[in-house]
Amino acid sequence: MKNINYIPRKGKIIGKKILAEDIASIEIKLLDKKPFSFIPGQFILVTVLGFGEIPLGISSLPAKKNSFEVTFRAVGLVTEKLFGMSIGEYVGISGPFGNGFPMTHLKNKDLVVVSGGIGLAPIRSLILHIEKKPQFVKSLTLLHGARCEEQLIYREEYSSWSKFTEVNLTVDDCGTDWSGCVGNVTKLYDKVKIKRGSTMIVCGPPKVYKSIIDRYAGKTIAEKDLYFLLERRMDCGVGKCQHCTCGKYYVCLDGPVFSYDKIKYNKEVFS
Amino acid sequence: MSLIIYDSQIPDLLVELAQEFKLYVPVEKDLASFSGQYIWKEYEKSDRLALLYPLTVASPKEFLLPSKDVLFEYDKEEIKKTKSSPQIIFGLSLVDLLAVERLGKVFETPVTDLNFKERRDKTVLVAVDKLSPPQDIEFDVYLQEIGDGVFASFAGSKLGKKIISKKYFENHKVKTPKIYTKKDSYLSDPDLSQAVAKSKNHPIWEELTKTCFGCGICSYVCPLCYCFDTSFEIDFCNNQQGTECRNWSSCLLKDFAAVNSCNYREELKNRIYNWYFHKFVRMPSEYGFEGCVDCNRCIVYCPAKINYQKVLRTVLNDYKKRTKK
Repeated sequence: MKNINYIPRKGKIIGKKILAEDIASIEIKLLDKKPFSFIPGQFILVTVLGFGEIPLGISSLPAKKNSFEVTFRAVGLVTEKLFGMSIGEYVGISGPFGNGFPMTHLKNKDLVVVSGGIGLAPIRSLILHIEKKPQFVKSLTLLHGARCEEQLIYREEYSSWSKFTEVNLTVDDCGTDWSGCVGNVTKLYDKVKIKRGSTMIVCGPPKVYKSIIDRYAGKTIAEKDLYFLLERRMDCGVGKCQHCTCGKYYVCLDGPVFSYDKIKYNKEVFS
Repeated sequence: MSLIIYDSQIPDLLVELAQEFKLYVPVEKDLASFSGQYIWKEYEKSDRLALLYPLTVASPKEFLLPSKDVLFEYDKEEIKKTKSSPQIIFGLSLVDLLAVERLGKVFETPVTDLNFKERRDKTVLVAVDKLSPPQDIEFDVYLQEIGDGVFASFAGSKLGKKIISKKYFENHKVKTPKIYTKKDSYLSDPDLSQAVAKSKNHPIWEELTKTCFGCGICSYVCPLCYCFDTSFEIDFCNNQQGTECRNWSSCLLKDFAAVNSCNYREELKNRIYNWYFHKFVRMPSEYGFEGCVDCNRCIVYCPAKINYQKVLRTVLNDYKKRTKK
């Protein structure tokens, strides 16, 4: 991106799914005829006129033409408004911004993805990409945790993902029907065998970072092959507003995906 | 021969310029005024001009990056871009001119902020100072005071040439003295950036939290602090209409780096450190210059009387001691 004028493109909501009591996914079609393409892991700014803007990772198949999806939790002014919006209503779209996942680097790798809660949203874009091109990676393992069964987003898709992915799930609290793992995502570390030399992507709350680093960084997984998708407050997307800085990096420009060797000593990421 | 203008001619020049442009000037206020003695404002004939002002409260940043900058207007779903009008900032000190130059680089590289650029392209810069005109900073007109109320006039652009060819300027045989600023010893210290970068664990940041209110006034008066928030303003009579604005912010404010699930810079000491890190580490690495022109506004208007020069000296001296060992 060379220029920015802060005028969002007009997008129409053409699909909406409620994934949990406070989580929804919406499908957006841009109304101008200009192209829109993205790399999994990139984010967009969604504008709700009169309410504000929020950065959201794109969760749909990158090759999908004419529309894309975003998934969000209703936790603030904008997301709560967005949660209540219906098909046919309009939003503003800016971006995509950021680097996205290192797609070239992921080719032919044993890929392990660790996510928590809504962190699965940008990961889904990568999973759908691999579903279309199963040879893209050597193997795919997902470790995903949520607060409870109802908070496991994209539940109905797990069975089709299982055809090409080792899907491992855990929930903090469960009902009587849950026969899977109980506890936070760290519980899955002992249950899943991770091949030495794998590549790992972590997209979840910062509280899981330490356990991941202690267990895998520089051991099973090389530091340069361990990626974190950082969540920060991205207001402009182009490195001007300063909200998303982490030391010398802008999460909106240099990230949101960083390899561990790049941010290992960054005290704004790992304090 | 050189073109000069007498201060007695300047009000007439301003009246003429004000017909074509929005014209902003530094003026002297009532001494009893709480908000400071010198301010920038839109020119009125009754103003007491304060060319060669010692310091204005707010900097001329306001005219290029307004404290509330309307990015666009909307009516139902239709978005309309707002336009800026031609303007002259008349009377910039050399220090403030340098800040404008740097602000331009920040907003025009590597990604060009078209909102800023459109306004900058429509802005005429007239600097007034006792120092000689700079070689490497853009201006349209530069007036160097060479005697009491006498200014040698230099044009830095086509428009500047047009301005100084007006009848208020006279040809005179005068020598313009060459006067340049001395490079400040610590701001130009090659170790400064590294010293700040390596000082995250320095006790001074904790020490500063005892006095700093985290109010952000240093950012607002700084001619080079440029961080912003965006927000909507809704027309209360018609909630289908409104504007999106970007407003000045400050990285010292508590929620600056907060998202719903986490505040990534909750502790004041981390926010204070980030303020210095941005100005003296991140900006030098991004743009090749510090985010400080040494104007001293942040010292004068800080309610806690924090002096960044003292802070930097401490950090720099301790770094030098450490690295010598």
